[in-house]
Amino acid sequence: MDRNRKILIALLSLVVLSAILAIVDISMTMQQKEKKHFTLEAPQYGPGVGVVRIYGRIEMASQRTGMLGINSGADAIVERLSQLAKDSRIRAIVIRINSPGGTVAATQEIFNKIMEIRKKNITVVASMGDIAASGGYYIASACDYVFANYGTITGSIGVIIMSPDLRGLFDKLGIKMNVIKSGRYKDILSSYRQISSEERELIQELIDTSYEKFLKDVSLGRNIPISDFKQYADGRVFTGATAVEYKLVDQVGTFHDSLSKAKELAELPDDAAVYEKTSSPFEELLMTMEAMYGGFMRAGGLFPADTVNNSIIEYSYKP
Amino acid sequence: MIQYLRSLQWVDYFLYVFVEPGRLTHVLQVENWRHLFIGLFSVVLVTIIQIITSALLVPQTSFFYYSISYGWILKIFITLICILLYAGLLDMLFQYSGYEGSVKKLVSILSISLFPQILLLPSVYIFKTFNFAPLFFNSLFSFILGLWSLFIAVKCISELHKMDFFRALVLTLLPLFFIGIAGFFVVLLMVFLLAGYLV
Repeated sequence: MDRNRKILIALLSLVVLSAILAIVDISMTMQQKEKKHFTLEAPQYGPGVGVVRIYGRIEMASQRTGMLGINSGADAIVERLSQLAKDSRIRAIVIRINSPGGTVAATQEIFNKIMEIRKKNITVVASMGDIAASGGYYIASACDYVFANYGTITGSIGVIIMSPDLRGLFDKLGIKMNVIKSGRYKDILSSYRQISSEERELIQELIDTSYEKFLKDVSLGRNIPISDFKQYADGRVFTGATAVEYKLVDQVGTFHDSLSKAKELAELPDDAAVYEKTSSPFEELLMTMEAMYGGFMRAGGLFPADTVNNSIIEYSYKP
Repeated sequence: MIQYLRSLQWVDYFLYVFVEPGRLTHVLQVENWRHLFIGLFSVVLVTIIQIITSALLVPQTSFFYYSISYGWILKIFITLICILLYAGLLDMLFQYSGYEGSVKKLVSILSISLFPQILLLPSVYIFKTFNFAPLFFNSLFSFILGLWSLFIAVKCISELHKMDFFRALVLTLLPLFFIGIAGFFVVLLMVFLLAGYLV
Protein backbone atom coordinates (compact mmCIF):
# COMPACT_ATOMS: atom_id res chain seq x y z
CA MET A 1 0.00 0.00 0.00
CA ASP A 2 2.78 2.38 0.95
CA ARG A 3 4.48 1.66 -2.36
CA ASN A 4 1.32 2.47 -4.27
CA ARG A 5 0.95 5.72 -2.35
CA LYS A 6 4.51 6.68 -3.32
CA ILE A 7 3.79 5.88 -6.98
CA LEU A 8 0.75 8.13 -6.87
CA ILE A 9 2.75 10.92 -5.20
CA ALA A 10 5.29 10.57 -8.02
CA LEU A 11 2.48 10.81 -10.55
CA LEU A 12 1.14 13.95 -8.87
CA SER A 13 4.65 15.42 -8.84
CA LEU A 14 4.94 14.71 -12.56
CA VAL A 15 1.67 16.55 -13.20
CA VAL A 16 2.75 19.53 -11.07
CA LEU A 17 6.12 19.59 -12.85
CA SER A 18 4.47 19.53 -16.28
CA ALA A 19 2.15 22.36 -15.14
CA ILE A 20 5.14 24.48 -14.06
CA LEU A 21 6.93 23.71 -17.34
CA ALA A 22 3.82 24.66 -19.31
CA ILE A 23 3.46 27.99 -17.45
CA VAL A 24 7.14 28.82 -18.10
CA ASP A 25 6.73 27.78 -21.75
CA ILE A 26 3.65 29.99 -22.22
CA SER A 27 5.31 32.98 -20.50
CA MET A 28 8.46 32.66 -22.61
CA THR A 29 6.46 32.43 -25.84
CA MET A 30 4.55 35.55 -24.82
CA GLN A 31 7.74 37.47 -24.00
CA GLN A 32 9.26 36.56 -27.37
CA LYS A 33 6.13 37.81 -29.11
CA GLU A 34 6.20 41.05 -27.10
CA LYS A 35 9.87 41.66 -27.98
CA LYS A 36 9.03 41.39 -31.70
CA HIS A 37 6.07 43.68 -31.13
CA PHE A 38 8.26 46.36 -29.52
CA THR A 39 10.85 46.31 -32.30
CA LEU A 40 8.18 47.01 -34.90
CA GLU A 41 5.97 49.46 -33.10
CA ALA A 42 6.46 52.45 -30.90
CA PRO A 43 5.35 52.43 -27.22
CA GLN A 44 1.67 53.17 -26.78
CA TYR A 45 1.79 55.97 -24.20
CA GLY A 46 2.61 59.67 -24.03
CA PRO A 47 2.21 62.32 -26.76
CA GLY A 48 1.85 60.85 -30.19
CA VAL A 49 0.14 60.59 -33.55
CA GLY A 50 -3.44 59.40 -34.06
CA VAL A 51 -4.39 57.46 -37.18
CA VAL A 52 -7.71 57.71 -38.98
CA ARG A 53 -8.49 55.43 -41.89
CA ILE A 54 -10.89 56.39 -44.67
CA TYR A 55 -11.45 53.38 -46.86
CA GLY A 56 -14.07 52.89 -49.59
CA ARG A 57 -16.93 55.16 -50.59
CA ILE A 58 -17.47 58.22 -48.45
CA GLU A 59 -21.11 58.54 -47.51
CA MET A 60 -23.44 58.97 -44.60
CA ALA A 61 -24.80 55.77 -43.14
CA SER A 62 -28.49 55.10 -43.74
CA GLN A 63 -29.11 55.44 -40.00
CA ARG A 64 -27.20 57.06 -37.11
CA THR A 65 -26.06 53.77 -35.69
CA GLY A 66 -26.35 50.37 -37.27
CA MET A 67 -28.73 47.65 -36.15
CA LEU A 68 -26.06 46.34 -33.83
CA GLY A 69 -25.38 49.80 -32.36
CA ILE A 70 -22.17 50.57 -34.23
CA ASN A 71 -21.58 53.94 -35.88
CA SER A 72 -20.58 53.75 -39.52
CA GLY A 73 -20.01 55.95 -42.58
CA ALA A 74 -18.83 59.57 -42.47
CA ASP A 75 -20.29 60.01 -38.98
CA ALA A 76 -17.90 57.40 -37.61
CA ILE A 77 -14.94 59.18 -39.26
CA VAL A 78 -15.99 62.59 -37.87
CA GLU A 79 -16.51 61.00 -34.45
CA ARG A 80 -13.04 59.42 -34.55
CA LEU A 81 -11.51 62.78 -35.56
CA SER A 82 -13.36 64.53 -32.70
CA GLN A 83 -12.14 61.92 -30.20
CA LEU A 84 -8.54 62.39 -31.33
CA ALA A 85 -8.85 66.20 -31.22
CA LYS A 86 -10.08 65.98 -27.61
CA ASP A 87 -7.31 63.59 -26.59
CA SER A 88 -4.53 65.58 -24.89
CA ARG A 89 -1.90 63.05 -26.03
CA ILE A 90 -2.60 63.64 -29.72
CA ARG A 91 -0.28 66.21 -31.29
CA ALA A 92 -0.73 65.12 -34.91
CA ILE A 93 -3.15 63.07 -36.97
CA VAL A 94 -2.39 60.98 -40.04
CA ILE A 95 -5.35 60.34 -42.30
CA ARG A 96 -4.89 57.29 -44.47
CA ILE A 97 -7.12 57.63 -47.53
CA ASN A 98 -7.99 54.86 -49.95
CA SER A 99 -11.22 56.09 -51.47
CA PRO A 100 -12.66 57.02 -54.87
CA GLY A 101 -14.77 59.73 -53.19
CA GLY A 102 -18.43 59.79 -52.32
CA THR A 103 -21.35 62.04 -51.58
CA VAL A 104 -20.91 65.81 -51.37
CA ALA A 105 -22.28 66.39 -47.87
CA ALA A 106 -20.37 63.51 -46.27
CA THR A 107 -17.11 64.66 -47.88
CA GLN A 108 -17.67 68.27 -46.78
CA GLU A 109 -18.39 67.20 -43.19
CA ILE A 110 -15.05 65.42 -42.98
CA PHE A 111 -13.28 68.33 -44.74
CA ASN A 112 -14.73 70.85 -42.29
CA LYS A 113 -13.80 68.70 -39.31
CA ILE A 114 -10.17 68.51 -40.46
CA MET A 115 -10.05 72.29 -40.96
CA GLU A 116 -11.45 72.72 -37.44
CA ILE A 117 -8.75 70.41 -36.04
CA ARG A 118 -6.01 72.34 -37.85
CA LYS A 119 -7.19 75.50 -36.08
CA LYS A 120 -6.46 73.76 -32.75
CA ASN A 121 -2.77 73.52 -33.77
CA ILE A 122 -2.94 69.79 -34.34
CA THR A 123 -0.94 68.83 -37.42
CA VAL A 124 -2.91 66.79 -39.94
CA VAL A 125 -1.08 64.77 -42.60
CA ALA A 126 -2.76 62.85 -45.42
CA SER A 127 -1.41 59.59 -46.80
CA MET A 128 -2.95 58.32 -50.02
CA GLY A 129 -3.20 54.60 -50.74
CA ASP A 130 -4.22 53.03 -54.06
CA ILE A 131 -6.72 55.76 -54.81
CA ALA A 132 -7.64 59.14 -53.36
CA ALA A 133 -9.65 60.67 -56.15
CA SER A 134 -12.41 63.28 -56.18
CA GLY A 135 -13.92 63.30 -52.66
CA GLY A 136 -10.86 61.35 -51.49
CA TYR A 137 -8.64 64.16 -52.76
CA TYR A 138 -11.08 66.78 -51.38
CA ILE A 139 -10.43 65.40 -47.88
CA ALA A 140 -6.67 65.13 -48.43
CA SER A 141 -6.54 68.78 -49.52
CA ALA A 142 -7.73 69.84 -46.05
CA CYS A 143 -4.54 68.45 -44.47
CA ASP A 144 -1.36 70.39 -43.65
CA TYR A 145 0.77 68.01 -45.67
CA VAL A 146 -0.21 65.48 -48.32
CA PHE A 147 1.65 62.29 -49.24
CA ALA A 148 0.84 60.07 -52.20
CA ASN A 149 2.48 56.93 -53.45
CA TYR A 150 4.13 57.14 -56.85
CA GLY A 151 1.28 55.23 -58.48
CA THR A 152 -1.64 56.52 -56.41
CA ILE A 153 -4.64 57.46 -58.55
CA THR A 154 -5.67 60.93 -57.51
CA GLY A 155 -7.23 64.08 -58.92
CA SER A 156 -10.64 63.67 -60.54
CA ILE A 157 -11.53 67.11 -59.19
CA GLY A 158 -15.13 67.56 -60.21
CA VAL A 159 -18.73 66.79 -59.47
CA ILE A 160 -20.96 64.24 -61.11
CA ILE A 161 -24.57 63.21 -61.06
CA MET A 162 -25.91 60.37 -63.14
CA SER A 163 -29.32 59.01 -63.91
CA PRO A 164 -30.07 56.12 -66.25
CA ASP A 165 -32.59 56.61 -69.08
CA LEU A 166 -34.66 53.44 -68.90
CA ARG A 167 -37.51 54.47 -71.18
CA GLY A 168 -36.62 51.84 -73.80
CA LEU A 169 -36.57 49.11 -71.18
CA PHE A 170 -39.83 50.33 -69.62
CA ASP A 171 -41.51 50.33 -73.04
CA LYS A 172 -40.23 46.85 -73.76
CA LEU A 173 -41.57 45.55 -70.47
CA GLY A 174 -44.81 47.54 -70.72
CA ILE A 175 -44.18 49.43 -67.50
CA LYS A 176 -45.89 52.79 -67.11
CA MET A 177 -45.43 55.10 -64.14
CA ASN A 178 -48.30 56.94 -62.46
CA VAL A 179 -46.85 60.17 -61.14
CA ILE A 180 -48.72 62.70 -59.02
CA LYS A 181 -46.38 65.53 -58.04
CA SER A 182 -46.57 68.81 -56.21
CA GLY A 183 -44.22 70.65 -58.57
CA ARG A 184 -42.88 70.18 -62.06
CA TYR A 185 -39.35 69.38 -60.90
CA LYS A 186 -40.32 66.90 -58.19
CA ASP A 187 -39.39 63.90 -60.36
CA ILE A 188 -36.27 65.47 -61.77
CA LEU A 189 -33.73 62.88 -63.00
CA SER A 190 -36.36 60.17 -63.14
CA SER A 191 -35.31 57.22 -65.22
CA TYR A 192 -38.72 56.79 -66.88
CA ARG A 193 -38.69 60.05 -68.84
CA GLN A 194 -36.27 62.24 -70.74
CA ILE A 195 -34.65 65.14 -68.91
CA SER A 196 -35.88 68.55 -70.14
CA SER A 197 -33.53 71.40 -71.03
CA GLU A 198 -34.79 73.45 -68.03
CA GLU A 199 -34.09 70.55 -65.71
CA ARG A 200 -30.66 70.08 -67.24
CA GLU A 201 -29.91 73.76 -66.54
CA LEU A 202 -31.07 73.39 -62.94
CA ILE A 203 -28.91 70.35 -62.36
CA GLN A 204 -25.96 71.97 -64.14
CA GLU A 205 -26.27 74.94 -61.77
CA LEU A 206 -26.22 72.56 -58.83
CA ILE A 207 -23.16 70.82 -60.22
CA ASP A 208 -21.38 74.12 -60.90
CA THR A 209 -22.06 75.40 -57.38
CA SER A 210 -20.67 72.21 -55.86
CA TYR A 211 -17.70 72.35 -58.23
CA GLU A 212 -16.94 75.96 -57.26
CA LYS A 213 -17.10 74.94 -53.61
CA PHE A 214 -14.71 72.06 -54.35
CA LEU A 215 -12.20 74.45 -55.96
CA LYS A 216 -12.52 76.99 -53.16
CA ASP A 217 -12.02 74.36 -50.49
CA VAL A 218 -8.98 72.86 -52.24
CA SER A 219 -7.55 76.37 -52.56
CA LEU A 220 -8.24 77.02 -48.87
CA GLY A 221 -6.87 73.70 -47.69
CA ARG A 222 -3.75 73.76 -49.88
CA ASN A 223 -3.29 77.51 -49.53
CA ILE A 224 -2.82 78.02 -53.27
CA PRO A 225 -4.84 80.19 -55.67
CA ILE A 226 -7.51 78.45 -57.77
CA SER A 227 -5.82 79.63 -60.96
CA ASP A 228 -2.77 77.44 -60.13
CA PHE A 229 -4.66 74.18 -60.43
CA LYS A 230 -7.91 74.93 -62.27
CA GLN A 231 -6.51 73.71 -65.58
CA TYR A 232 -6.10 70.24 -64.01
CA ALA A 233 -9.44 70.33 -62.23
CA ASP A 234 -11.44 69.04 -65.20
CA GLY A 235 -12.12 65.60 -63.80
CA ARG A 236 -8.88 64.08 -65.06
CA VAL A 237 -7.02 61.57 -62.93
CA PHE A 238 -3.27 61.47 -62.50
CA THR A 239 -0.64 59.57 -60.55
CA GLY A 240 0.80 60.67 -57.24
CA ALA A 241 4.04 61.73 -58.94
CA THR A 242 2.16 63.96 -61.43
CA ALA A 243 0.08 65.42 -58.58
CA VAL A 244 3.34 66.55 -56.94
CA GLU A 245 4.27 68.34 -60.19
CA TYR A 246 0.83 70.02 -60.24
CA LYS A 247 1.36 71.04 -56.58
CA LEU A 248 -1.78 69.18 -55.55
CA VAL A 249 0.30 66.81 -53.40
CA ASP A 250 3.38 67.77 -51.35
CA GLN A 251 5.51 64.69 -51.56
CA VAL A 252 5.71 61.15 -52.86
CA GLY A 253 5.94 58.79 -49.90
CA THR A 254 4.51 55.87 -48.01
CA PHE A 255 2.28 55.66 -44.94
CA HIS A 256 5.37 55.37 -42.74
CA ASP A 257 6.81 58.50 -44.34
CA SER A 258 3.60 60.33 -43.47
CA LEU A 259 3.89 59.15 -39.84
CA SER A 260 7.48 60.43 -39.69
CA LYS A 261 6.46 63.74 -41.25
CA ALA A 262 3.58 64.13 -38.79
CA LYS A 263 6.00 63.58 -35.88
CA GLU A 264 8.45 66.05 -37.41
CA LEU A 265 5.80 68.74 -37.93
CA ALA A 266 4.39 68.21 -34.43
CA GLU A 267 7.92 68.26 -32.98
CA LEU A 268 7.57 64.78 -31.57
CA PRO A 269 10.46 62.33 -31.13
CA ASP A 270 10.87 59.56 -33.71
CA ASP A 271 9.72 56.90 -31.25
CA ALA A 272 6.52 58.76 -30.27
CA ALA A 273 3.41 56.62 -29.91
CA VAL A 274 1.10 55.89 -32.83
CA TYR A 275 -2.52 55.49 -31.78
CA GLU A 276 -4.48 53.30 -34.15
CA LYS A 277 -8.12 52.59 -33.45
CA THR A 278 -8.19 49.12 -32.02
CA SER A 279 -11.39 47.14 -32.07
CA SER A 280 -12.04 44.24 -29.77
CA PRO A 281 -12.63 40.89 -31.49
CA PHE A 282 -16.28 41.15 -30.39
CA GLU A 283 -16.63 44.60 -32.03
CA GLU A 284 -14.98 43.23 -35.20
CA LEU A 285 -17.51 40.40 -35.21
CA LEU A 286 -20.43 42.82 -34.76
CA MET A 287 -19.10 45.05 -37.57
CA THR A 288 -18.77 42.07 -39.90
CA MET A 289 -22.32 40.98 -39.04
CA GLU A 290 -23.51 44.54 -39.53
CA ALA A 291 -21.90 44.73 -42.98
CA MET A 292 -23.28 41.33 -43.99
CA TYR A 293 -26.75 42.03 -42.64
CA GLY A 294 -26.87 45.55 -44.14
CA GLY A 295 -25.87 44.13 -47.53
CA PHE A 296 -28.56 41.46 -47.27
CA MET A 297 -31.24 44.00 -46.36
CA ARG A 298 -30.36 46.24 -49.30
CA ALA A 299 -30.01 43.34 -51.73
CA GLY A 300 -33.35 41.95 -50.64
CA GLY A 301 -35.04 45.30 -51.13
CA LEU A 302 -36.17 45.39 -47.52
CA PHE A 303 -35.28 49.06 -47.22
CA PRO A 304 -37.50 51.56 -49.04
CA ALA A 305 -35.98 52.56 -52.38
CA ASP A 306 -35.39 56.19 -51.38
CA THR A 307 -32.96 55.21 -48.64
CA VAL A 308 -30.59 53.81 -51.23
CA ASN A 309 -28.34 56.51 -52.67
CA ASN A 310 -29.74 56.66 -56.17
CA SER A 311 -29.01 59.54 -58.57
CA ILE A 312 -27.20 61.44 -55.84
CA ILE A 313 -24.76 64.29 -56.44
CA GLU A 314 -21.24 63.07 -55.87
CA TYR A 315 -17.59 64.00 -55.65
CA SER A 316 -16.60 60.65 -56.93
CA TYR A 317 -14.31 59.04 -59.47
CA LYS A 318 -16.21 56.69 -61.76
CA PRO A 319 -13.89 54.88 -64.17
CA MET B 1 -3.77 18.40 9.94
CA ILE B 2 -0.01 18.28 9.25
CA GLN B 3 0.10 14.82 10.75
CA TYR B 4 -2.71 13.73 8.44
CA LEU B 5 -0.89 15.11 5.40
CA ARG B 6 2.33 13.38 6.46
CA SER B 7 0.55 10.06 6.94
CA LEU B 8 -0.27 10.09 3.20
CA GLN B 9 -3.73 8.71 4.00
CA TRP B 10 -5.27 11.36 1.74
CA VAL B 11 -3.45 9.77 -1.20
CA ASP B 12 -5.68 6.71 -0.79
CA TYR B 13 -8.69 8.56 -2.19
CA PHE B 14 -6.85 9.17 -5.47
CA LEU B 15 -5.29 5.74 -5.42
CA TYR B 16 -8.73 4.14 -5.30
CA VAL B 17 -9.80 6.35 -8.21
CA PHE B 18 -7.14 4.73 -10.38
CA VAL B 19 -6.97 1.24 -8.89
CA GLU B 20 -10.32 0.34 -7.37
CA PRO B 21 -13.13 2.90 -7.83
CA GLY B 22 -15.67 0.71 -6.03
CA ARG B 23 -13.64 0.86 -2.83
CA LEU B 24 -13.77 4.63 -2.84
CA THR B 25 -17.46 4.36 -1.94
CA HIS B 26 -16.64 2.34 1.16
CA VAL B 27 -14.23 5.07 2.31
CA LEU B 28 -16.87 7.72 1.62
CA GLN B 29 -19.48 5.78 3.61
CA VAL B 30 -17.80 7.04 6.79
CA GLU B 31 -19.09 10.55 7.56
CA ASN B 32 -16.06 12.81 7.47
CA TRP B 33 -15.53 16.47 6.50
CA ARG B 34 -12.27 15.45 4.83
CA HIS B 35 -14.15 13.93 1.88
CA LEU B 36 -15.41 17.34 0.85
CA PHE B 37 -11.94 18.90 1.13
CA ILE B 38 -10.42 16.10 -0.90
CA GLY B 39 -13.18 16.67 -3.50
CA LEU B 40 -12.46 20.41 -3.54
CA PHE B 41 -8.74 19.73 -3.96
CA SER B 42 -9.52 17.47 -6.92
CA VAL B 43 -11.69 20.16 -8.56
CA VAL B 44 -9.03 22.87 -8.02
CA LEU B 45 -6.27 20.72 -9.47
CA VAL B 46 -8.31 19.65 -12.49
CA THR B 47 -9.43 23.24 -13.18
CA ILE B 48 -5.86 24.60 -13.15
CA ILE B 49 -4.69 21.75 -15.37
CA GLN B 50 -7.54 22.44 -17.85
CA ILE B 51 -6.73 26.18 -17.97
CA ILE B 52 -3.02 25.52 -18.59
CA THR B 53 -3.79 22.91 -21.25
CA SER B 54 -6.16 25.18 -23.17
CA ALA B 55 -3.65 28.09 -22.87
CA LEU B 56 -1.00 25.85 -24.46
CA LEU B 57 -3.20 25.14 -27.46
CA VAL B 58 -4.52 28.64 -28.30
CA PRO B 59 -2.49 31.70 -29.45
CA GLN B 60 -0.62 32.82 -26.34
CA THR B 61 -1.49 36.32 -25.21
CA SER B 62 -1.29 38.15 -21.89
CA PHE B 63 -4.88 37.02 -21.27
CA PHE B 64 -3.25 33.87 -19.87
CA TYR B 65 -2.19 35.84 -16.77
CA TYR B 66 -5.83 36.79 -16.12
CA SER B 67 -7.07 33.26 -16.66
CA ILE B 68 -4.41 31.76 -14.38
CA SER B 69 -4.79 34.41 -11.65
CA TYR B 70 -8.54 35.12 -11.62
CA GLY B 71 -10.05 32.79 -14.23
CA TRP B 72 -9.39 29.62 -12.28
CA ILE B 73 -11.38 30.95 -9.30
CA LEU B 74 -14.35 31.60 -11.59
CA LYS B 75 -13.96 28.22 -13.27
CA ILE B 76 -13.81 26.45 -9.89
CA PHE B 77 -17.01 28.21 -8.81
CA ILE B 78 -18.74 27.22 -12.03
CA THR B 79 -17.54 23.60 -11.74
CA LEU B 80 -18.58 23.41 -8.07
CA ILE B 81 -22.02 24.87 -8.82
CA CYS B 82 -22.45 22.37 -11.66
CA ILE B 83 -21.41 19.51 -9.35
CA LEU B 84 -23.79 20.69 -6.60
CA LEU B 85 -26.69 21.04 -9.03
CA TYR B 86 -26.02 17.70 -10.66
CA ALA B 87 -25.65 15.99 -7.28
CA GLY B 88 -28.97 17.56 -6.23
CA LEU B 89 -30.68 16.33 -9.37
CA LEU B 90 -29.22 12.85 -8.98
CA ASP B 91 -30.27 12.74 -5.34
CA MET B 92 -33.85 13.69 -6.28
CA LEU B 93 -33.87 11.02 -8.95
CA PHE B 94 -32.52 8.33 -6.63
CA GLN B 95 -35.01 9.21 -3.91
CA TYR B 96 -37.79 9.11 -6.49
CA SER B 97 -36.55 5.67 -7.59
CA GLY B 98 -36.66 4.44 -4.00
CA TYR B 99 -33.02 4.75 -3.01
CA GLU B 100 -31.51 6.52 -0.04
CA GLY B 101 -30.69 10.25 -0.38
CA SER B 102 -27.04 11.28 0.06
CA VAL B 103 -26.13 14.63 -1.53
CA LYS B 104 -22.88 15.00 0.46
CA LYS B 105 -21.60 11.64 -0.74
CA LEU B 106 -22.67 12.34 -4.32
CA VAL B 107 -20.83 15.69 -4.27
CA SER B 108 -17.67 13.94 -3.03
CA ILE B 109 -18.01 11.16 -5.61
CA LEU B 110 -18.56 13.56 -8.54
CA SER B 111 -15.66 15.82 -7.44
CA ILE B 112 -13.16 13.02 -6.86
CA SER B 113 -14.19 11.23 -10.04
CA LEU B 114 -12.83 14.21 -12.02
CA PHE B 115 -9.33 13.42 -10.77
CA PRO B 116 -8.08 11.34 -13.77
CA GLN B 117 -8.40 14.49 -15.88
CA ILE B 118 -5.13 15.76 -14.39
CA LEU B 119 -3.47 13.42 -16.88
CA LEU B 120 -4.69 15.66 -19.72
CA LEU B 121 -1.78 18.11 -19.46
CA PRO B 122 1.16 15.66 -19.56
CA SER B 123 -0.43 13.69 -22.40
CA VAL B 124 -1.29 16.75 -24.53
CA TYR B 125 2.01 18.47 -23.74
CA ILE B 126 3.96 15.72 -25.49
CA PHE B 127 1.99 16.24 -28.72
CA LYS B 128 2.23 20.01 -28.37
CA THR B 129 6.03 19.83 -27.99
CA PHE B 130 6.35 17.81 -31.20
CA ASN B 131 3.54 19.85 -32.77
CA PHE B 132 1.81 16.65 -33.85
CA ALA B 133 -1.95 17.41 -34.10
CA PRO B 134 -2.17 18.70 -30.49
CA LEU B 135 -5.77 19.89 -30.90
CA PHE B 136 -6.91 16.49 -32.11
CA PHE B 137 -5.16 14.70 -29.26
CA ASN B 138 -6.54 17.23 -26.78
CA SER B 139 -10.06 16.37 -27.94
CA LEU B 140 -9.29 12.67 -27.94
CA PHE B 141 -7.76 12.62 -24.45
CA SER B 142 -10.49 14.90 -23.07
CA PHE B 143 -13.08 12.44 -24.38
CA ILE B 144 -11.26 9.37 -23.02
CA LEU B 145 -10.62 10.96 -19.61
CA GLY B 146 -14.23 12.20 -19.52
CA LEU B 147 -15.43 8.62 -20.07
CA TRP B 148 -13.05 7.43 -17.36
CA SER B 149 -14.47 10.00 -14.91
CA LEU B 150 -17.98 8.90 -15.83
CA PHE B 151 -17.03 5.26 -15.28
CA ILE B 152 -15.62 6.06 -11.82
CA ALA B 153 -18.69 8.09 -10.84
CA VAL B 154 -21.10 5.37 -12.04
CA LYS B 155 -19.09 2.61 -10.39
CA CYS B 156 -19.11 4.51 -7.07
CA ILE B 157 -22.84 5.28 -7.34
CA SER B 158 -23.66 1.65 -8.14
CA GLU B 159 -21.70 0.60 -5.01
CA LEU B 160 -23.31 3.34 -2.94
CA HIS B 161 -26.85 2.27 -3.76
CA LYS B 162 -26.06 -1.40 -4.27
CA MET B 163 -27.45 -1.44 -7.78
CA ASP B 164 -26.49 -2.86 -11.15
CA PHE B 165 -23.77 -0.88 -13.04
CA PHE B 166 -25.95 -0.28 -16.12
CA ARG B 167 -28.91 0.82 -14.04
CA ALA B 168 -26.59 3.25 -12.26
CA LEU B 169 -25.30 4.44 -15.64
CA VAL B 170 -28.81 5.13 -16.95
CA LEU B 171 -29.87 6.91 -13.76
CA THR B 172 -26.65 9.00 -13.71
CA LEU B 173 -27.08 10.08 -17.32
CA LEU B 174 -30.80 10.77 -17.06
CA PRO B 175 -30.47 14.32 -15.59
CA LEU B 176 -27.91 15.08 -18.33
CA PHE B 177 -30.47 13.99 -20.92
CA PHE B 178 -33.14 16.28 -19.47
CA ILE B 179 -30.65 19.17 -19.16
CA GLY B 180 -29.75 18.59 -22.83
CA ILE B 181 -33.40 18.78 -23.89
CA ALA B 182 -34.01 21.89 -21.77
CA GLY B 183 -30.80 23.47 -23.11
CA PHE B 184 -31.85 22.75 -26.69
CA PHE B 185 -35.19 24.52 -26.19
CA VAL B 186 -33.52 27.45 -24.42
CA VAL B 187 -31.10 27.86 -27.36
CA LEU B 188 -34.00 27.54 -29.81
CA LEU B 189 -35.95 30.26 -27.97
CA MET B 190 -32.87 32.50 -27.92
CA VAL B 191 -32.44 32.06 -31.69
CA PHE B 192 -36.10 32.98 -32.30
CA LEU B 193 -35.75 35.96 -29.97
CA LEU B 194 -32.60 37.20 -31.72
CA ALA B 195 -34.12 36.67 -35.18
CA GLY B 196 -37.25 38.54 -34.09
CA TYR B 197 -35.16 41.42 -32.74
CA LEU B 198 -33.10 41.68 -35.92
CA VAL B 199 -36.08 41.46 -38.29
